[in-house]
Amino acid sequence: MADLDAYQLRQNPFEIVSHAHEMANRKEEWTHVSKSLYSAFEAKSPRFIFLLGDWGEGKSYILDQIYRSLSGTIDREGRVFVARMRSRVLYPKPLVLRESEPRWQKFGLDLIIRVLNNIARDKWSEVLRKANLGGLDSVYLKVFQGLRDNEESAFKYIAGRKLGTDELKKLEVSEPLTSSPQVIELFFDFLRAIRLAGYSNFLLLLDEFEYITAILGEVRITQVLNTFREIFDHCGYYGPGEIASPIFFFAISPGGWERLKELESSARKKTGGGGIAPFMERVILRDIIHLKPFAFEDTKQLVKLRLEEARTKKVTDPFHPFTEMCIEYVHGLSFNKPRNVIQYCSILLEDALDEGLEKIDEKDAKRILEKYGIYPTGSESAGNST
Amino acid sequence: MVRSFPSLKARAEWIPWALECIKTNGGDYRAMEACIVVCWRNISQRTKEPSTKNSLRAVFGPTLRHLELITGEGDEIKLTAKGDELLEIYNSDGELGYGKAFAKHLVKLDKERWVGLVFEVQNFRRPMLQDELLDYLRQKYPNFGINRDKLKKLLLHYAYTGLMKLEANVIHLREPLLHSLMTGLEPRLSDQQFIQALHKAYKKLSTGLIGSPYVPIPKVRDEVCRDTKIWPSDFDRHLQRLPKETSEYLIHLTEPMLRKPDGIRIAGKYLYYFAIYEKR
Repeated sequence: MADLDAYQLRQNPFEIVSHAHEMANRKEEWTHVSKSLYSAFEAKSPRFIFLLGDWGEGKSYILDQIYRSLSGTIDREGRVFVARMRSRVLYPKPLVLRESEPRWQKFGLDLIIRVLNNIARDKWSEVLRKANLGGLDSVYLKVFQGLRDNEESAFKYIAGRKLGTDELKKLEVSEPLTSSPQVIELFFDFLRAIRLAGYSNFLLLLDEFEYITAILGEVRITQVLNTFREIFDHCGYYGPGEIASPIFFFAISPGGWERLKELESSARKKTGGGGIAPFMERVILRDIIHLKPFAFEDTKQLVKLRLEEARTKKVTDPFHPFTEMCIEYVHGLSFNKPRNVIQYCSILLEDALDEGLEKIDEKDAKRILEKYGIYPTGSESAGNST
Repeated sequence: MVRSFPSLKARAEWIPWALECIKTNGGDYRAMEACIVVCWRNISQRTKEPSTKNSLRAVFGPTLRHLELITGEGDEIKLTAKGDELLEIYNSDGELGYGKAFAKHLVKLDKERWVGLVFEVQNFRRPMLQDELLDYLRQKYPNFGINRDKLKKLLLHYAYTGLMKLEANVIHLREPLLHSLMTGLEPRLSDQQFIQALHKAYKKLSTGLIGSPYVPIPKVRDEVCRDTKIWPSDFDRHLQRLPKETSEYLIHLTEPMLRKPDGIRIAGKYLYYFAIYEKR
């Protein structure tokens, strides 16, 4: 590829993998996110928070921003069990709800093992050293002490692996983790342990929650949601300040959310309130945050910010080498999704450079993007069936 | 003319490609039959293979004859003038234009050859149960062999055209559409009028929604059609070509999680949920 310096750019700033970029025009949504989280941290009780947004509208980005901001902006007092650097991070990335091919078919077992297993070893050690484990009345006490002291058998145990007789004896447990009730008990002892270390909240970020509504049937969806509901309700058995309160932050597509609402409604009709209805009843309406689709002004802001990040020197036109008409054209193709804007701008930038264009205008954008099969949405096909 | 009650065994949405099979394989019964079997197999959700022997002879043949879209026997089967006309409309205007033309044809046949089902429903002047209509028709036409299955299939043809809406067991007639069809006076909406109607419908349907602003497209379509008396196919055409963003609003459409009927296809995407945002 030719030198991007021709456009006063250090590198192509339109990449979609990293979320380490400034937020473009999401002030309203971010305020809502902060308010919901802050309120949950203050309440010290379990909470379900939903972030609704279409594919490519920035759900994963927001989750990542929450993760980053918890290092200071929102949680100044360090009350939430999250950490700021990758090596010490609880989850290197927002956890997907189910792996493509989960090791365990029991959802509760699969989820909690992955949650615990995702905590970096040095984080376990750092946190549990702060806790007075002597005050923890738990059948898993030796497991937590083992995690604190970096003992291999303890890590094997929380990973759900098979253990030898000596290892089981050393950890004072009778068998490896094999059932959901067993891991839920372990999870609550974990919440008690981190509470002893000074954390009042435990935040779990769950991305792609719509996945379960797309691949699972009604019975399985109900089982999955009831696992969360069980954890939520189980918190009631503990006194104030006894555990770090779990907060579950789900990112879901509007189609996925509507599917949950349909299931709730059908459960009410069929059983008068069974199925997923008890889970949905625990979602406070103000904790549903909706990511709005990107308007043209948002797209301009996004392009401008990304270009600014990679500038080698100050330029008078913040969109250079794109013309404003070009950005408008890209926006028209984007279905109001920032991910599409970024991808299309990336293609345009690299192709324009190869072609030696000084500016990228609307005509260039049309010609280049059509080469890749990206056409305006005007040529719609008729038909109203799936 | 002796009246009857048709037994429409093939679905309304299958008719265009069955007509195409017959037209392109004219003069060769076996080839027509084979073409229909292949198309049917591709779209059928049944695990059982379509029967080669019965597909044209017992399913599509009788249906297309009742609809007066084919004529002749064996190798001599060919499209009637109306069959040719409908196929041409389908190929040039797509399903939207075809749906309206098919509706006109269905109402005309119903009025002149069948029992006038759509007018019987109209006379009730209210949504009615299918069983209620069945009892009424059986009493009025005791020798027509009307049964639940035959009635349902004819109602489904009407539902396909948009003239009727079937909700569970309840039949809703879209009176204004029938009226415009009979009088030939079809309401025309400007883009501005359509946007106003869209806003009004969305406001009505989204009032009270908290969290998610999305409303299913079939509900919006129904509300706009009721209000403006346009056809569902015209609603789709308007929505497809409407600018989705202006200085005042942003229309956003999104996909369903599972297969759901009666959405809209725009730029190759099948969309089901609808929201309007006022600009920030």
